[in-house]
Amino acid sequence: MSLTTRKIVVAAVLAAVSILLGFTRLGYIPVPTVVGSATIMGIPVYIGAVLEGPLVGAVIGLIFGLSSFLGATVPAFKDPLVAVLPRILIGITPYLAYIAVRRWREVYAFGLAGLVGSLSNTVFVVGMIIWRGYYSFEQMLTVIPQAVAEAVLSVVLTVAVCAAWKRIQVGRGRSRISQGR
Amino acid sequence: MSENFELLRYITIGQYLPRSSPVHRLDPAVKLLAVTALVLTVAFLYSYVGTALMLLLILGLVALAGVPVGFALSGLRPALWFVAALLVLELLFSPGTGLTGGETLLSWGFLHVTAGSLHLTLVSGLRLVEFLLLMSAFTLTTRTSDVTRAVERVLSPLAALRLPTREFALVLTIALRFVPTFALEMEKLMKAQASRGGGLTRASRWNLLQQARARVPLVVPLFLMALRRAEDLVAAMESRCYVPGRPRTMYRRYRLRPADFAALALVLAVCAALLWAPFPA
Repeated sequence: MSLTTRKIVVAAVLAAVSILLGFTRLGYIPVPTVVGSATIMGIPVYIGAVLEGPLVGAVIGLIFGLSSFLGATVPAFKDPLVAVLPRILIGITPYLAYIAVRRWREVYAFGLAGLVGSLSNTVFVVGMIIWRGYYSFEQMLTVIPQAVAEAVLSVVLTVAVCAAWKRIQVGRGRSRISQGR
Repeated sequence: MSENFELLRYITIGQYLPRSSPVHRLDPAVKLLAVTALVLTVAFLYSYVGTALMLLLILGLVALAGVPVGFALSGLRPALWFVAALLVLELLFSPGTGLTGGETLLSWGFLHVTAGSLHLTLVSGLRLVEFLLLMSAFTLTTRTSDVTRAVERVLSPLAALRLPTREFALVLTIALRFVPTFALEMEKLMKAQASRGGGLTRASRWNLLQQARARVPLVVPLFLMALRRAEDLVAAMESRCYVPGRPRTMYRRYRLRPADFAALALVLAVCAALLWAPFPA
């Protein structure tokens, strides 16, 4: 795994987005469940994994976990094993999903990566919560609607961002000046 | 318009209160290690006595650092009702098994309060306050640049294992540096959306679909803007001959003093004592 400047910077930038989403209202979509809201802070992790690989995904996941741990108001997330450890893994699973499917249609690979990432996040974190005894399995079943909402959002946003980004990279015959920044 | 556009208010990372307290004068890497030890101790302390003692200790630290306690806790104010509601919910709806077992104190229909769930709720509330105080004491007494250097120095032994610790410290530096920038960009995007009749104000709070749809035209441009900035930064770094993994020298040197070692030893001893002391559960 080569360590390029690009990997470092993309990891940093997407981690910054994750931190920002975590500390403002944007990252949370209110859903009436035990843990309060569907979140989109995981999406930078999945996008990082797709665009730059599992190492970058894992690093963004780690920083996402740390910011979740440090900024959490929900008591269960005050446990580093619940907030940080699973999040490292959610940077790797989307990459695996992406490389498995990108041969067919890259867009489907983006979508699957988003889906797998979101489901991994839900499964691993909820698994940790149950294993550490904060809530029971029955109570955790109430987060299923929130998990579904997160999964759908992850797919939509991962596809939207990755497709837009890759096309910009490939270029559509327009110079950077005419893109109007 | 009821929407709050001032995102930057919530970003308190990087706030530094220039004072001259003993805590300010400690080496940043020592402070980082001490804070990490304290945070982990708080996370794993469970007894009433231990948690209360820890709270007293942290309050003492905050006073020593010359940080006003009210200011340190101000990060909690916007979320206070939410947190209180969450704790009450946890108190009433815990499963009654595992951590939250024990004798039932109150019972009403399918709501029950057990000794265990009361313990969990109180300790969780205290932990929250302790974390906030610790993080405030740390960030308010240490400049951001010192913090990132401290992370690099603390992780540097791991470099012997061929792990890219300096690069990871750089990732943290760049990420923290960009958070306020992106917050400002986000404000711009939100105002632009709102002025065209879209945005978060129009989505009713509990309608999931509306909330999700309102966020898409905000979040996608945020990502793309972030990635574009990444491209620019990569070009800038490479044009200044940055090569990951090569040895680099730093402008600022840090020297450890006896006071630093003493402070660190004291903190570690206290943490160990609190974790291993046989407090009544």
